[in-house]
Amino acid sequence: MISVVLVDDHPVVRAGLRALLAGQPDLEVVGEAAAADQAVSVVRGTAAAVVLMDLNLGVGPGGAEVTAALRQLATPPQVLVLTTYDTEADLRAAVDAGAAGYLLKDAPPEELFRAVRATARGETVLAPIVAARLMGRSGPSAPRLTEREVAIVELLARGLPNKDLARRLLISQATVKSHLSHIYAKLGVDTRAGAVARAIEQRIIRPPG
Amino acid sequence: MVRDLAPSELSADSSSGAALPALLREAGRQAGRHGRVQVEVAVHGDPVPLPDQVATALLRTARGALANVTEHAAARRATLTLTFHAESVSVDIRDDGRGFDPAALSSRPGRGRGLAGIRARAVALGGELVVESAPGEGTALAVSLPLGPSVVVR
Repeated sequence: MISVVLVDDHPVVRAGLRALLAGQPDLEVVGEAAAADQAVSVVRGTAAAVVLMDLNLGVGPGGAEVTAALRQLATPPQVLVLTTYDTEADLRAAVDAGAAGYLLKDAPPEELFRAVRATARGETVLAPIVAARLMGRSGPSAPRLTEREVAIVELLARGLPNKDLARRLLISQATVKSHLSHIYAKLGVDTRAGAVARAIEQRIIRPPG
Repeated sequence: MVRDLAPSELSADSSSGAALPALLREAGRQAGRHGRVQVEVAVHGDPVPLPDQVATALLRTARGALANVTEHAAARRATLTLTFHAESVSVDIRDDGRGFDPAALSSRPGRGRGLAGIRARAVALGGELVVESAPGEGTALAVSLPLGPSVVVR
């Protein structure tokens, strides 16, 4: 029997996962947590083998931090990150924190069950798109924006005009425009909206809001 | 014609792009000490070794701009940003001081001389100077210079 703890700040999601896993004879949900400190005490108390971890836990430490804390326990669980839309930075944070695997929530249930079993065996589970991205092959034309360029695209996605971009970043509007032309060239676009759309599609930024 | 002797610290830097950022940080520290303004220095992009003339122009631009900030701006904070792109490099100096009307500057003979020198140096290297300011809105000054075979020295 593989003991599983669910860590997600959405009660409906936890209830759904619990119901799904209840149908599997070899998987048992032994605890739930909605936030970081709860997660550590529940896992410690239940000595669970696998933790299904959401990366965004609302207010407070996020899933990557919690993963790191759990991996410090005397008998650390294997952590399978199960989450919605995430960027490459989130992915790396989770892996660096010691997550054994990473699955997107749009995976079908069978894949989830397989992933939990594999994680319990100590195997690394990565959705194919995620694996490709980690190995630097995220598609035929993967634009690589610098940290600064990503920050600018995030501000573009919030609809800020150049003047506000410059004020926020403490540079001149001229330099903002220079960054924008580099960003447009890298993304293969020629408008702000195009840049934002492409960056979301390439998972360079999250959709705003 | 503007002639610049490259500071010796820059000429010695042939193997890395680290000298200019370090000198800019030092310029920021000095301006902060003398002018009671808090100066932050940031570097973006991948630092590469720069042609002496380019590095010198950027350093003198930064020093001149910081002098203007401490003398005229009544600023609390100034940010100096060095940005490397593949084909160009730029330095921005932005302060939160009193700002001014750039159009009004050219009509006052005594002032603005520093900017004219900075602009001349930038243009001589195929680049440009931009001054963005308005009364009450602080000031941003940026010099960008091309890198690579496209540098034209007039």
